[in-house]
Amino acid sequence: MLKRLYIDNFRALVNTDLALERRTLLMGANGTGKSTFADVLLRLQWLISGISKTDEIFTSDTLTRWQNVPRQRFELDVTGSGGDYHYEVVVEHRKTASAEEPRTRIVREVLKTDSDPLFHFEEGLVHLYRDDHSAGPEYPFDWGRSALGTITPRGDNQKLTWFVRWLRGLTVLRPNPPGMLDLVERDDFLIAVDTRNFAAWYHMASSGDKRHDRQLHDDLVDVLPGFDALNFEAAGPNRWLLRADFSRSGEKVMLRFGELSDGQRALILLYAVARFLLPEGRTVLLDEPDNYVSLDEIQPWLLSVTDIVDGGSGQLVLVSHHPEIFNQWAESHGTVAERESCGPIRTRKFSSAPGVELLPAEAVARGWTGASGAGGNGSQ
Amino acid sequence: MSDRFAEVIILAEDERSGNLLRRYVLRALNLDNRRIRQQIAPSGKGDAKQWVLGQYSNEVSAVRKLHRKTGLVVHLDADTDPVNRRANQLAAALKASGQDGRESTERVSHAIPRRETETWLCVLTGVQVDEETDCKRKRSLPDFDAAVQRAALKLYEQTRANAPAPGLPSLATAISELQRLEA
Repeated sequence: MLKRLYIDNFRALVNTDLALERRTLLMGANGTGKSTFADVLLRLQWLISGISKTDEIFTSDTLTRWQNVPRQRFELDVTGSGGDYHYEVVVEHRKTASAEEPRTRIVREVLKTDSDPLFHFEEGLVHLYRDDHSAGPEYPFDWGRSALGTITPRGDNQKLTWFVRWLRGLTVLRPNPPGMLDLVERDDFLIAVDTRNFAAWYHMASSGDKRHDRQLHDDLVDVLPGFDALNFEAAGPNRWLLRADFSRSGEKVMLRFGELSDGQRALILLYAVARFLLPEGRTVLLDEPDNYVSLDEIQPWLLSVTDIVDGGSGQLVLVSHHPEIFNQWAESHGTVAERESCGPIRTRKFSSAPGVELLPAEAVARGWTGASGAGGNGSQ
Repeated sequence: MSDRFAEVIILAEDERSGNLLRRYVLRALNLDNRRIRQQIAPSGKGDAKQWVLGQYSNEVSAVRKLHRKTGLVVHLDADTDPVNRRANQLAAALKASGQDGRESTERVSHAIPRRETETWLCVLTGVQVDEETDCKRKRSLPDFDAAVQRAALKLYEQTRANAPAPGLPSLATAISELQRLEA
């Protein structure tokens, strides 16, 4: 579980801490950086997955505009696998570059558990440590990418391996039903941020634990009137089409996934997240999951994921503006991102203004929340 | 929009209490979340209670006029007051809104823990506490939210006929109240 994210010198995030719980609702007006937190998590995931080099992930336009500071710092505090993990990486942007020292480079990358080192990279040199924290090998490494993600799992580095696997499995989604494809050409381990490859991910996921698929099926029977099943039909060699089958007056109606409404596709995605990803123990950040979903479907989904997460499965961070979500989660799990006229972003726990009997959504709409007085509004 | 409607409405001072009662209702009435509407009060010292009391009369009125079969579960912490005091406040809220008092056949249940819901969570998950101790402040359970599911199942068992009466008086009262939903 991600407990804390610290970001310094990344867009409008300057020396900013975000504390997270098993369930967190990230609130705030437009332009207060809510999605930037998700963006940083994604980039750290790319960094550690070795998908791209540092200069492609942390481009110079991610530096905070009003500062002239060349170093960006990111920290993660994570609980899991029997310990507390602390990861930090410092990225430096330089004006000149050489073959040995690229323009954008990692000057420090550290992973500790319970304050003892597991991995240390500094000044181009990697120091590895075993699970018992005894010193392991040292070797030089490319400043231009993360060394942590390149470590081969072994019997004596299971803690490090667990952390890397956790970060690689972290899922950030900005559901975009109109862009969700129904054609599958390969299996995907992760759903893409814009959810376009949902079908390819579901093709892989549904071939695994059938219990999760049965639960999803039961949910969708309740949610989508006449729903029978999700199926794949062959569409050529190693190609499939995701299809939703319905019954209407005793007749079977088979629709390509792309023929469903945006709201129906959004609901299938949301219940799939609840039934597959959270039970795997993943940290999932959903950015505006309520888009396209009808009012009467939001609370039932929210209550379902509440029960799953409180039951000990996974971690869920919601970024939302929706009143239904505010009124359920804001009081107990709300964090507000605030920003004063293009200045740095700050976060605080949501609190209702004392002595006012307004539901959180109404209080936010009026700007009558919390200590700052600005509440979720007032950034412009 | 679908053609379903809410079969049970839960009004609670806080989310955790709402979740406990909702989990109980899911089990006892064999419903899913799509048949339950959960309303959580805004927090703030004293505000949550006032909000629940205000909503209570609105909800009773709406249920009586529109959906008489819809169940209503109302949660209020008694804090250090007697449980009867909150029950009387609920009755007074109905009277103040010009409505008749609650009838014995109405599916309207009051869930009023003495002290707080966390007291019930402790007892229902096997941690022995009394109604004088502030379990929430003492953190008598390491994770109250994680205890909700287990506590709700235990609460369901205790509402079955012939189940032994619980040691906490406020919980015993709530059990007979919750049985109204199944009438």
